[in-house]
Amino acid sequence: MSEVLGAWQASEDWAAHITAWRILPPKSPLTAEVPEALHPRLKGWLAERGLRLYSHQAEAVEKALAGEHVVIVTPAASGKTLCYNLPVLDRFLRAPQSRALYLFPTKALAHDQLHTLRQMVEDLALRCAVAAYDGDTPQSHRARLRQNAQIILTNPDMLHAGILPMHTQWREFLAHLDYIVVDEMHTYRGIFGSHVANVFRRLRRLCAFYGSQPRFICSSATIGNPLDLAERLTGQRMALVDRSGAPAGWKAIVFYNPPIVDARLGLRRPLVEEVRRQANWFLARDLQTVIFCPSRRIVEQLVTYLRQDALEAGRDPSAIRGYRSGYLPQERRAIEEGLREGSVRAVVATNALELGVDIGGLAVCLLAGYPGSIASTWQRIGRVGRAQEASAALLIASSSPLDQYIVSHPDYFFAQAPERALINPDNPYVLLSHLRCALYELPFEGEESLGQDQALREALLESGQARGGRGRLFWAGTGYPSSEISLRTASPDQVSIVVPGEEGGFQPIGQMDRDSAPYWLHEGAIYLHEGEQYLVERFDWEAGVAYVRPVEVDYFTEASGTTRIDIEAIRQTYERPLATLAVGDVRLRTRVTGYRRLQWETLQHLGWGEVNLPEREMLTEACWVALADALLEALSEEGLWEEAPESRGPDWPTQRDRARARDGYRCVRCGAEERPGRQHDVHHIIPFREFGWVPGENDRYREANRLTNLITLCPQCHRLVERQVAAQGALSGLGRVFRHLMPLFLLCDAEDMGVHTEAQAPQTGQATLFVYDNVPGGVGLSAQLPNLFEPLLERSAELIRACPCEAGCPSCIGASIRPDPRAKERVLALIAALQRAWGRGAIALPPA
Amino acid sequence: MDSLLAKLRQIWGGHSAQGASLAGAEARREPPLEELVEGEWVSLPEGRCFFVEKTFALDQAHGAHRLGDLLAVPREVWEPFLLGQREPPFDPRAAAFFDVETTGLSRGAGTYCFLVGIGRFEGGAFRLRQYFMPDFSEEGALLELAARDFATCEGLVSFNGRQFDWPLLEMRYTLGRRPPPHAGEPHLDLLLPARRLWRGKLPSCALSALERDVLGVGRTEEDVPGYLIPDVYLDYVLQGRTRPMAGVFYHNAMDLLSMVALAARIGQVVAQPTEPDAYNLVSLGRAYACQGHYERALEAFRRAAGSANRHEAAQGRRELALLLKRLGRLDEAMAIWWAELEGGDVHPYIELAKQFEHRLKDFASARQLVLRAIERLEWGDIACADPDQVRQDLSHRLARLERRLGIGAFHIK
Repeated sequence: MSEVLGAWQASEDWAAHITAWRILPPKSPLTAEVPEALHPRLKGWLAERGLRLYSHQAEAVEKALAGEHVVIVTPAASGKTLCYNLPVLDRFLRAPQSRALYLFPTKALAHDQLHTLRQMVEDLALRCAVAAYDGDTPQSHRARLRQNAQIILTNPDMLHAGILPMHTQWREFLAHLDYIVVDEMHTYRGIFGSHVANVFRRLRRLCAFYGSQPRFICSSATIGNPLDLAERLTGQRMALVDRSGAPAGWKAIVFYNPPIVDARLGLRRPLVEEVRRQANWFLARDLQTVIFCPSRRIVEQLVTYLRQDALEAGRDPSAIRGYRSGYLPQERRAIEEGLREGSVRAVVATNALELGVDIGGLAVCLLAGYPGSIASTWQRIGRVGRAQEASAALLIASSSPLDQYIVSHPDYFFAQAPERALINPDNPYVLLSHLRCALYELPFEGEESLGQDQALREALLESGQARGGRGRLFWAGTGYPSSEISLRTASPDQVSIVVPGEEGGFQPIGQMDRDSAPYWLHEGAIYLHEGEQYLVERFDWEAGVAYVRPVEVDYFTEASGTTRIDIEAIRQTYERPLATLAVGDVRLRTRVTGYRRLQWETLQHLGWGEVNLPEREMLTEACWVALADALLEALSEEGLWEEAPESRGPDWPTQRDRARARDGYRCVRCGAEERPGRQHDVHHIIPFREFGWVPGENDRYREANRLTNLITLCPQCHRLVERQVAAQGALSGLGRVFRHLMPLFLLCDAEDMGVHTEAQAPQTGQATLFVYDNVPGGVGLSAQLPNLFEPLLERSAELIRACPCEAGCPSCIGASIRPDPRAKERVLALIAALQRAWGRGAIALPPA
Repeated sequence: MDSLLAKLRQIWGGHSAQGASLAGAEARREPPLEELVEGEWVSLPEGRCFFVEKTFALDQAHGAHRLGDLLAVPREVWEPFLLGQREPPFDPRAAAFFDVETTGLSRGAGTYCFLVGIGRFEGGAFRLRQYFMPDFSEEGALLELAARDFATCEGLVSFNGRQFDWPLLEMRYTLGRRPPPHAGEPHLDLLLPARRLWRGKLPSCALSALERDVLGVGRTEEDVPGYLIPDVYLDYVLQGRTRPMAGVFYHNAMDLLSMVALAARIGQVVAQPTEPDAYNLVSLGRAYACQGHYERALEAFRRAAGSANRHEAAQGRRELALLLKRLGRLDEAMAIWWAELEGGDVHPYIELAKQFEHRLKDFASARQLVLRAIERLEWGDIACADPDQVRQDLSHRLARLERRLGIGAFHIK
């Protein structure tokens, strides 16, 4: 591999663009004696196969056999499954009544493990029934599985809604439950993780009722705080096993920044093109390669290109496969199998492959862009390198500022610990949901509690959802609470994608979650699947079916939409003369309104289409900051919003007159008529700059100057609106910084929060920044912001100042296509103004 | 936390402390339960239970029936409808008619059976006992008293109890750390025979619909419709509202009496099916056939064949012929198919062709029948569910017959 990389470096001009070159030295395996306490049958099984245990496996097994709760954090392919399968089967050999519950974050992973485990049970000639129990399990099989299965593989959602509420049907299982295996523990973070922690609280409670005390064995990919997460998740003291004894081959990690191809515009070679060249270089040398892409579209684009290239080079195009969510399970299994046995030479994947899917060890990993977090970058890099073989991982930066930052500051990456996974099982919203479920499942005895639930229990009593009596607390409701509570914030609802079958009817080719579907499966969209193009002919929203047919076109489509926030109820307001901070309920509406057709290689804009799909709606909680006009006025007196005048394109005079005529020469905002001698102004709704017109290069001014993007305004109103738009820019920069910081303050995941800005929000009438809980109904995250507002502002200012970028980057205030050179300055000025508005010290809270 | 509590107060306003006290004031004007429902409070160490006992004479009318009618029904009638265990033999005189009222429709652990009604024939009368738990914490007393009652019965009669009431009751005993009550088997769930008899004949086979359409029973205004019962109970527990709760006792008692009358009607019909158009005799016949009661099944199909309803009559003849064929009474079956040939269905042609080809080895006749069927299918004057499939089967059959007859290839388009 070292020679290969030498050759790689020497070919073309690649060496000049390498910004980091780190070698992870090979590691020889560290094995350990099989623990004395392990059942002789299992010792024999290991010996027959000539298997020795790595030190971490021996350590984990020994601790589990000694009755400890264990969390194992070791690299991919280090044999984690043995760490839990051995103790589970050991127990089973000693007590055939024993049961075990395995939890995986997805059904697919559970089914993967099912095969491994069944094989092992068969090898050992054990009479031990192993079964998956999830939403796909036929009703007619369920009763039998509940009675007979000794090892059940399922997911937390099924445990929550399908098993715990019906626990009397599981009494045999729960009464003999000895082990709970939690695989891929790092996925249980943020609000989702907080929910799962409460599901475990409920499970432990029911086990206690039936007289069992199961042990937890968790396994996790590398994260910053595995022990802490495991203990919060399971509510148990855990033993950490994190010194891997697995061997590792020599591995090179290379950071590569594509060359600048247009010095005038500072444009680098496009990511897809660069990755394509690199991938072809390795594939031509027959090195099995995995390429991780940031989006489904790039996956499909690359598969298309690489297959074309393979065909031209006389290689087999079918050895190049895509892999992402939306492929059918059988298809994915086939790709995984192909990777393991070597017939698939390259797989182009999204993070769908990141989870513990077994694909063997490949030689080369290309990261098309920075995966967004240190933890997931290491997880992906960990996918390559067979036991003791050499491998290479290349990070190819995109031109996004975050990528540029990482690729130009490699030490930042190599020195930082992976991100921590944060959960808060006592989040009152989450806890309340599970308190209701737990009460439904079993009355509370005396002082028993589910967490810090005292106030919530009182609220349930007060509202008549719970009822006390004889020192116990009972559920007093007519419903089935777990059916109303989803552990995941994204909807589990799927849309299927079908093509006309050969003999009439339709055949499924893939599926997609409903929230994404409007963007990818609207009528007229070009949907890409394994590099094949399909035109969406009809999208039946109610039935959740997209009807597509194969086509060959030279363009792709890109949907765009709108987001609107309406304030439904204000709960608390903190008013200051220059700004208002408020907390309340909002209705978030998103809608895909249209799409562009763009030519493949040139990205030339070929036309627009309309999309007619229902709005997606979410009621949630938000905290918002509305800026008073006086604050904007003060900032404009500082000259903060001034912009250099710029040309609006050759058709501007005509378009301007047409807009004025259309609006009847009146200000559309205040209705004032034009006075003689002073024409009204014409304003761009989406700022002209954002269309990226470069004279002589493109004609994007046309799109910017479309009549639908223009309105007539009198000079006063225009100044006001311009100010609001500028303020919106600064606010959205602040919002991006908040997004980075909030998880640390709120113990949530970045995905749990959303940020939205309006130049003039319908209800406040002012430039407004909304921070909302990205969870239907809200979970009390944004409601905490008023108390955290000042420290948050302070940390935001620090972060922006400390960020080495010039005009904003994704690590701070975000990037735009045309960076505004004063962007950071403006956000900092806004922060300063808000800090002044709030004065020093904490906000005095009104009485609750 | 404070914002959550404030929000909860708003969302749950209907049940908030203020709302409760208003409703409480209303409830204070309502008399206590024992003034509305004749019964007594029983105190056990496990809790309190309100106990109601009523006795009905056997000649008391319930709609078109008398409660004692059931006792005249021959016992063997029930056999086809008993699922699972059949020992000891089912006897309505020893069985417990039971019906529970619950706090919800799901079968999860948070659904309580707050009222258990048990009725049985006892000392020349029908005696009905109801056990009611006045609060969640008092469940133990209800479970204890109901278990004592069940312990003296042999077998159960319910309406949808096999799927719902009985498993739910068993679950309550599990949760209360008690053994499940005795008397679980044999269990006659009247929903099954009711569906057999009236499916397709009545708009609904719910007990309330059967009561109205079959038994001719009317309820007074006191009745509480089933879907309201969980909320009525919560209003009783949380706010002390007794009047609607009294209606639930009435509802439960009426359900039990209707089960007795319904059992009598079912028994009579099954023992002696009359007025064919009123019952789904085809479905009944299939039930007999499944259980191996072939003579009864043939009888039911014959009656169906005599129906004035053409569709039902055709179905009856078809089932009759198929059962006769299964029983090896082929000539009788063939006679029916011959008679059916000019009807609107393709199956008599196929059945006859099979007989001629495989049993009688008369390939020419079989071929004639197949050709005729194909011809009529082409004209579109006989019906079948899947014409393409049938046409394909027929042409295969034809090809095979012609090979056997030595006729050259013959293609049907």
